[in-house]
Amino acid sequence: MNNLLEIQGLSKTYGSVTALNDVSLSIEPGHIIGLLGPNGSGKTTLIKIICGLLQANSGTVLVDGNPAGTADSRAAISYLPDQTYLDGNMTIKAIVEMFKYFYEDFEEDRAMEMISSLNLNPNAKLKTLSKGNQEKVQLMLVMSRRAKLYILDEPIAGVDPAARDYILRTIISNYEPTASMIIATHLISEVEPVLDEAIFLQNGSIKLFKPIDDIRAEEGMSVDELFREVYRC
Amino acid sequence: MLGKFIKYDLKKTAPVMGVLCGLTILLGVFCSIFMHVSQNPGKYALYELLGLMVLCVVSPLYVITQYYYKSLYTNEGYLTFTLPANNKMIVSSKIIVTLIWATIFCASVFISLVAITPESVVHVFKEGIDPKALLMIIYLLIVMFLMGLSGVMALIFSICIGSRWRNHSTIGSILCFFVLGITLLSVYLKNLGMSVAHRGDIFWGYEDLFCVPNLICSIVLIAVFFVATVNITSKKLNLD
Repeated sequence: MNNLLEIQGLSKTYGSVTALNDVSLSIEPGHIIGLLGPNGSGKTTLIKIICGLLQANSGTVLVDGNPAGTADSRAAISYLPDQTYLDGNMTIKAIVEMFKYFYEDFEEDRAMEMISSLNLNPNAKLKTLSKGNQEKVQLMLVMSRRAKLYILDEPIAGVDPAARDYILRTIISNYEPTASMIIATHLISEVEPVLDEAIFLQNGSIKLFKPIDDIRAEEGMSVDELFREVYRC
Repeated sequence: MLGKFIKYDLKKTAPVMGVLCGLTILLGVFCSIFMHVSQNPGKYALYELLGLMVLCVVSPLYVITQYYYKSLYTNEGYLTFTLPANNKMIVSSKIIVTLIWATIFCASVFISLVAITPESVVHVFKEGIDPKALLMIIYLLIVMFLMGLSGVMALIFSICIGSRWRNHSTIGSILCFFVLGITLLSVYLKNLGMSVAHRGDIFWGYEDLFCVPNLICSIVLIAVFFVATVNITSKKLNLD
């Protein structure tokens, strides 16, 4: 089976600070992977390089066989950043139309269905919504695409527990089994039930990359418990 | 895909830029009416010129800067640079849209200026004009327009360079634009001086300011700033 994501010898520094150090990994289709690590471990940097938003100092990144940052690699990725990236002056309807205009794999009906399930007014401007609802709208847009690789950076950080449940339900119910998904978070216990594999990042290096079931069997503890042990201060 | 991007960006910026262009033309029409009913039309012409100067320079520069900077270098850049296109196409589309609006705005300024004294235009059409003089006017307008565009491109390039300073992008952009502005002015004035010397005169005229070397310089500068901005932003993209 061809790898959906292939990373070889990836390194990135910010001045004298090393954000990523010789990272290599490959991801096949059909997996939900947790990219786990404490703040500053390099999760967001890795994601941004995969999406072509940051330039690496060395190494290669191939998304569905295409170098990161190319039109084809971007078309294969549906990316949710860890912050609001939409123009707050746009209405929900206008944003949906924009996604439909640019992404061939965007399903408008699915997006509108999710929006109505939240009782959001499609004519409301994004900036008038609460932070939680803004994040939900972004997630709906990302999950309304039929992408090959979904990358969600901290999708449940900064929202209340009820909203977290909703977001995780939305992710699972809209996830295409033939696609893969990378979820970067430090809220392990919340996402653990939906993960197939976990990547532990520490100081820019991969400390562990294993299936969740193997971790539980070999370590005799949950991923959340292992995370707390590995990253104990 | 480039056409798709341009079409979308034009549509998105049309409400604001359309209003600015419309206001500019309306200002000319209103001033023309005031000049015809007033006893002292001279001062209205002055207000018109001042108003146009503010509209011509401040408003479009603000709108263009905001649009260009926000969509590429702020949080919105996370969306812009993850759309299914390569960086060069994305940046090119933003610059082309900016230049298209600059052109439309210049046209609205010209219409507004003509509206101040419509009788002079009527006179030209009735009495006719020397073809050579008409060609000279068209040439001067084209050079003036291109010199203006080179200034807009200098601003876009400055924003690109400023964004390289991670924590001081605004200061970096202003400094870069200041340096580029002085350099551009020096080049244009040097060409003006050479044109005056070539004519063997001691006073300069508009034909010196809009001389052929300045026409060539402005075209070259537009092209250089365009290519440099696209390449630097594409190859050195680092959205933090």
